[in-house]
Amino acid sequence: MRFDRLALALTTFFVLCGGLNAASKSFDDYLDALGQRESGGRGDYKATNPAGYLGRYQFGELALVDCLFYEGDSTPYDNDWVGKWLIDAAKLGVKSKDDFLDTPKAQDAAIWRYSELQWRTIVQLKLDQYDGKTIGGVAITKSGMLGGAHLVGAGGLRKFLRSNGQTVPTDGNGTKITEYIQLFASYDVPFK
Amino acid sequence: MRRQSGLVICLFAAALPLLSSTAVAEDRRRPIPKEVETELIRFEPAYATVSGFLDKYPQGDFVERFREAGQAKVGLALKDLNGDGKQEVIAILAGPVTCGARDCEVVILAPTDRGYRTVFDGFASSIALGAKAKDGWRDVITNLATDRDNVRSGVIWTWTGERYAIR
Repeated sequence: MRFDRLALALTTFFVLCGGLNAASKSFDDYLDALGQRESGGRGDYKATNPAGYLGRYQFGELALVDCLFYEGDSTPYDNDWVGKWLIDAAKLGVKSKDDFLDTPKAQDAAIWRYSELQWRTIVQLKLDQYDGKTIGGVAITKSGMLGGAHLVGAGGLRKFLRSNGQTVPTDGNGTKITEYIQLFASYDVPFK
Repeated sequence: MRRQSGLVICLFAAALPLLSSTAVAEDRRRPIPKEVETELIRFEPAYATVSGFLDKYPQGDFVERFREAGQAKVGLALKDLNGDGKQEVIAILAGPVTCGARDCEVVILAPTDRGYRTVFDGFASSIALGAKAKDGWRDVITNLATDRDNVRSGVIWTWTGERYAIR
């Protein structure tokens, strides 16, 4: 009898802990988890990959053009970073690829801005209406959608949601969008 | 018995937060054998808008999807993937809707009697062609990379008879 009470107390404790854990996942926690995942589990701001993607969040040229950090260049599909860095980057001390890798503050500012842009696109495409639904067996949350859009764009997210989970886009490494939607679920999202 | 069932419930509750936040990662990258020659596709900036692309390629199963691509720019490469003397269209759609932070949507269109048909629709930061496989269609490799030991790897997409699918 005494043991049953102990088991009940422990169960209640762990369920409460789980609830608190879910409720206390801030957007900074989301970015931290994203940075860890994107840079191979190290969260390394100096991470680069052979195809020229930069930093903790593995930005390519096109994403930093969207963030108004990088002007772009004549080879937009190669991450050779031969173009100019813009004033928003310069304000954070970044005038080159190496500066960007050496400046965590700039990378964090870029991922905030990029996430906000992604969320705006998600809302424009009216995908935010899927928040709280279950699609293809996967619970859809705002931060999960942001994670999915980080992987395959809001267009890839739209394909998954509109097909009711029948189409599961993957990135170029074969990672399924469902993995990111689940991995980054239930964090606070500060964007409207 | 009651003690055991109480313990099981307790352990299950302890594992709940872990179960809810863990997704299973699946590594689909494969090493590319040394003897396989690969050809990296270089996309040329071709159209500033999707409309420009659709003026040139107006017919096929891809038209509606391209119209939904928003403000994407289209990069292009033309390659004969199956040796029939006709070039397939390899298009990368680069814009806020069609790209994630790294990869963008890439579509391969094969010529038909009535325009073009989608044979590949995926996301990638690079596309390479690999060995000839089924029906003479070359494999498509997404995100080809070479590590420090000079071993190449990527996700290999093979011709299935109708379209490309991950091997």
